[in-house]
Amino acid sequence: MFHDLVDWLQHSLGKSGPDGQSWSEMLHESLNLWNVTEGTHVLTLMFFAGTIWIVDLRMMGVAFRNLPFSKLNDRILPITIVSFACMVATGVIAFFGRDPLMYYHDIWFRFKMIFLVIASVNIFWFHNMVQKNQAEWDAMEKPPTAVRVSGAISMASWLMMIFLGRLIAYDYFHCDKVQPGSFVYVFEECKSALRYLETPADGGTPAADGAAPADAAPADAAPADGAATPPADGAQPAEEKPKEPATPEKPAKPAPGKGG
Amino acid sequence: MNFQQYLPGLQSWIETLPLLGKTKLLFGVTLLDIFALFGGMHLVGMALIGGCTILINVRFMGAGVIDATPQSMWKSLRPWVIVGVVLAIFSGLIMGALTASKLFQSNAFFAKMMALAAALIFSFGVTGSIARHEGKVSRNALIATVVALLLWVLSLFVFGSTEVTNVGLFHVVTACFAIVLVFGANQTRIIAAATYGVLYGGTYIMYWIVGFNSFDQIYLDIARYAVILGFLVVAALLFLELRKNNALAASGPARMIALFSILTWVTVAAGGRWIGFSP
Repeated sequence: MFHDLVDWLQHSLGKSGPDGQSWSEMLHESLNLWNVTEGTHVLTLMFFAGTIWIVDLRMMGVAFRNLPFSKLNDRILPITIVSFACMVATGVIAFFGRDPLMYYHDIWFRFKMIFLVIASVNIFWFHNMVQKNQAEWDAMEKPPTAVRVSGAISMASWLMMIFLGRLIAYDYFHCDKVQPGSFVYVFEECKSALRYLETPADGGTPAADGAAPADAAPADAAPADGAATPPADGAQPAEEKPKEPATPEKPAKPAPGKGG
Repeated sequence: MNFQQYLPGLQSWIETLPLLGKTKLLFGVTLLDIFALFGGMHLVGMALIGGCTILINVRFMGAGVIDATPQSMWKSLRPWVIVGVVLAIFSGLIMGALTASKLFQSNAFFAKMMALAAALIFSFGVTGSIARHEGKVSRNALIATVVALLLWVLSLFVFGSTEVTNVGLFHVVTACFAIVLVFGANQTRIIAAATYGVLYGGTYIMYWIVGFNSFDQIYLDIARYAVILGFLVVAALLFLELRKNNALAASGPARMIALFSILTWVTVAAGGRWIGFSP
């Protein structure tokens, strides 16, 4: 649906200078910028999810049962909002700076976005419907069902997003590995992804080339089907380097995005 | 500085650990096949720890959930810290075993483990004691703090003196700025935000939008000095804020300990992330 837009973001936006690189490619090629951005994304996630889960647990009547919801929520919310803003900003930049087309056509990324929508709808529902009569249940140890359900949806959504975000590093279902016509093939819009692979724009980095994006896989650990199986949190076993764009050679640099 | 240097006798055992990855579980699925799930579990554990740690320690600093006493807060948060630690350590052990050969010689992993030891001491040896004593630091807690601080400083030294991973200290400095923004006075917040924006926003624009070559030594030096300068500024701001007596939740030393407790967990997380970025 947005393939052309993402393609433009990756290969054309900000294109200038002697190398003729786009901003996306410049960020990808930078020595540490992408790593710092993605690292910040993961760290802010830690504080965002951690604090929102405490509020969710209170909504579910599991933790802080003796403290009115408003007293907890109003004090935690600023931390949660700041973490969320940083997490989204760094997430967008990380997406933009590391082969956005690969992300765009990745099944895990798409599921992650679906859960992001679910979490957003839940927040909207909570603020506009459930929270209207907050005064009635504010001090209850076990809030009404609607509140508990909203808390559970929020917690489950962010849990899923963390797991799906982690799975993006794996190329089990990259377009070049799935059966044409299958659900995954259609869901990932593989037709446009593979067409792009055959005719890369401006000699740019083809997406979905089998190179694991963020977190590469140990070659010796790859299962028979060729799906990559990556390393521990941060660990980076055997090298499977992302394909380098057609740019002038540069000194050795850390492989961006490897690890957990 | 890494485990291989200090425990060379374990080398042959370490090399056998990744074989566990081929262990068949249910339906022929191996540990390696579900590696990603452990990665996710690790992040969930760290998120739980992160949320609880920041809430209790910011409370000690006189901000956050000020309607609850530190003691009642810790009582509510402690079970979730334990859940987080169990999840993170369980998944970490499995992931660590499957990539043991690399981790054994990784400086970043060594730094992470030192920071983890410090963080666990803070969370389970010091925080609870301070909460129980309503913000006062007992003698035993003080001793535990000194041990934890030594481990953390060692961790920072290894982290900062290793090529490539030293950039990861940026996250620790950023956490300091974030803490100032959360609990500092308005004037301090403005100074912190302006400093952070100029130093790191400037670095970002320099590399990315302007397009300076990030591999040139001069720009590497500029980025390094930006981190050092940022650290000095934020350390000064934190010191000034922690000296103020308007934070009633805890004594001065307890507020300082709260700060270090948050930073040790940030170092643990940053260390983990930068293991993967190191060559």
